Amino acid sequence: MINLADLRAKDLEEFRALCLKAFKRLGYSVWLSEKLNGKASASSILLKNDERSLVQCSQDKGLVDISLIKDFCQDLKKKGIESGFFITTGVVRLADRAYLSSEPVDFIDAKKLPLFLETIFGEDGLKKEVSRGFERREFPRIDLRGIGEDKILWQANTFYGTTSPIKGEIADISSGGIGFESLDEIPVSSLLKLELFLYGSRQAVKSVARLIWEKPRGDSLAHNFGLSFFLIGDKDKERISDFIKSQLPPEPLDFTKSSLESNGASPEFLLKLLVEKNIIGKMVSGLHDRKSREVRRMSEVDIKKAENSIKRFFKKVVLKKCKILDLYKTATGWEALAKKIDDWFEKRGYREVYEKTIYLVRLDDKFKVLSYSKVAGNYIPKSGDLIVSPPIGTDKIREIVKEVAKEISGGNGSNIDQDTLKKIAAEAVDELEKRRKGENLWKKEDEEVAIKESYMSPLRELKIERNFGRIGKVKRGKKDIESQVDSLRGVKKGKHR
Amino acid sequence: MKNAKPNRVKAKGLDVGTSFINCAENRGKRVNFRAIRNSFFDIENTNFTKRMLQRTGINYIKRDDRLYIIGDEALEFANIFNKEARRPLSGGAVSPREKEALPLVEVLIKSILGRANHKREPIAFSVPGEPIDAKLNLTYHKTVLSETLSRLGYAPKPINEGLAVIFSELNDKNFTGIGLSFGGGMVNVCMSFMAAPVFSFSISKSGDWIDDQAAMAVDETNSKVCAFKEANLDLSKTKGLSRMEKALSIYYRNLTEYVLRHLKKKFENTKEMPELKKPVDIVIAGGTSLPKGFLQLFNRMLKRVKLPHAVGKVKMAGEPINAVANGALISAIAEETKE
Repeated sequence: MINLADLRAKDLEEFRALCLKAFKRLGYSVWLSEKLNGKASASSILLKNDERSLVQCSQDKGLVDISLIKDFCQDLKKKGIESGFFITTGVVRLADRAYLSSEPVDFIDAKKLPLFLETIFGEDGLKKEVSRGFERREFPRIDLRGIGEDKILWQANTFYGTTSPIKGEIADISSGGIGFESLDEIPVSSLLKLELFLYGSRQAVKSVARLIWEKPRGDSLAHNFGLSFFLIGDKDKERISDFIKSQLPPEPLDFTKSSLESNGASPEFLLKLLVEKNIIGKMVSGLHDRKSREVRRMSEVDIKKAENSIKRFFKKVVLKKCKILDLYKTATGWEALAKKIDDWFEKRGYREVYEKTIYLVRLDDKFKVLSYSKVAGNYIPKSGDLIVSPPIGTDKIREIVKEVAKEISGGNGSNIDQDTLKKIAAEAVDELEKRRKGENLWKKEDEEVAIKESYMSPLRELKIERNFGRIGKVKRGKKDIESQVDSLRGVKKGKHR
Repeated sequence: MKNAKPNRVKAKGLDVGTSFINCAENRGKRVNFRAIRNSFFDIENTNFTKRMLQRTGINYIKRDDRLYIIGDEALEFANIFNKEARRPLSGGAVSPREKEALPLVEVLIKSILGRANHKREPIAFSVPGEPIDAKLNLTYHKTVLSETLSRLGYAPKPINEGLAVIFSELNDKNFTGIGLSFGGGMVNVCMSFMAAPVFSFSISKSGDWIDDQAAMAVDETNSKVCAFKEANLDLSKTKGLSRMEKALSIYYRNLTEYVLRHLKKKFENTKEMPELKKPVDIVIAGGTSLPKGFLQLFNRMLKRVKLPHAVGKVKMAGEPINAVANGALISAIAEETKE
């Protein structure tokens, strides 16, 4: 059985969150929660089957003062609510209960509370809830500050007064609602028509939402607002959950030595690591859309296919050239593992390419790379040539090794000596600092790869994509144009009236 | 015997204004006008935004990594994001410095005009008069538009914006009079005698300037002031004015007086003025002249300024928004017929 002292040790907000969670499991929804503002107790209005109930949570020790209960009963009458739950960690006297027996209040006090919670959460579940701290937020929340516009377009209108939408920036979203910042004045409890266009979704999510809280921002005149979905369809709920899932970071890979070894420390695993760290992506991102003479003659679709094929091909050869594994071996000392991975590449016939070298690539009719050969820097491309250079430099190799080594050294089973660790850590901190400052760690010349010369015609560059043909609202004029033209012609010929 | 009428000429008139691009084309005896708000709003090009725009049928242009929403929707989006929509034209002309905007103007023009009906279809496009209070590279503006239209298969000819208003509205006065076009970025003025321009000039203050000044005075955004001006402003109202109405009235008066004072100066300084036996009529066009009571305000100011020549009738164009495009069309057809 749960110890009451544990419940009293939590702050009131956490305690209330746990109680409300219990009620939600019983099918209630939370309609309105009173702000705590340093009070000793806090009430919330619950809703079930269109009936309202008032619940008050307080953390008391010993006997509960009857005046608190009387206040609660008065509050109940004032708000016109039919029933109430008085939850306390203290004890309500039997005499007080008898005195208040005519009131529509259920008392859940120290004697009943542990059993009440355990019945709902189960013994282990309750222990878990208490030990990990009560989750105040029911739904995971995605912070969208600064990037909201790229992820969600939203519109909210009040049901009253002006028809213009509320102006503001979305700050976060969860399955339960959204947070936003606005200069508009919107009263708490207002119902709003809310439309959300979520990234990747085909339809707008439409709901009626209720403004549940409002807080002034210290640094500007804007206020922060919280909207809770009030009426929302199941499909729309699903769309929001899918969107949130898609925005949550993936489960981190386990890079500990034991995990690597238990995974067979396969090259695939290492590749996954590199891809996840966005290293592979960066290496092949250099194939820009500058086109060689030959490419210029190809259709857009073919160019795309050729580029993808070259990217795939060089992803492999670049990996080999990077000699990740040699450096990996040096950094970690895991010779056996390095050899295993090296063998994997060799068996698959990966060849070396040299950084900062220009290659002449030939493709077959299915855009598969047939051959590639080194050419001189001043090579002039002929018809049929695709001139590329793999986007790789020494700096990038160092970067890759650093990333891999950093990940592994962060694991519990690392056997890297202390000096190496310190060196890696210092570099990692340095790099993090640079990232924080927004410095691009990748040198421009490393990313500029591709295709050496541009034969793009200026007209082609002006070909701008648009999603419309002829535009403009058509209005029919009232005047007779022919008589006006005749007059002008007449005046110009000197036949004026 | 009456001369046989020449075959109907297919032609177009184009009014490239700071606020709107308007195209006029003849369909038999009548004219069809197509207009689009000359504004854009750029958002990042992501699959989501692109798909969202496609689904909702909003016109956009994709360039590099940005999507440019164009027309009225640009203003709506600007409102959603609480930002200002951008204008491809600054102060009435294509600016050599606005490299980002130039391709957009090209696409907008291309899309509003459509393809030429036949090779070298005549088109007249409006150009502002020489500005008297600002530096404006009109040659660049003219060349860019000319080249764009030529590329689309048209035979372009420029026409002064004020003169276009006269062509559109003063045919009963043998195209003699003064045409004023109160646009978004500029006011264009032209005095014409028998369809030949006597003088023309432009002023770099107009609707946008009024919005700016009034917005500053009442501490509101330009877009809000503009929306109010377009929907509710009544310049004939004298009592019970709100702060915004008061501010707008002041700047409307200020602008009208400023224009008329320059017109007076031009009258006085023009050496080769034709001998005008009758009072000259004045015709007013352009979106900034749309608020109720503008004509009365103009007349009041006219009395105060007193032009050196007698003024006959002062009237509003039949369709103030379309007058310039209509005049340009008339010019294009007449020129073609003459040739």
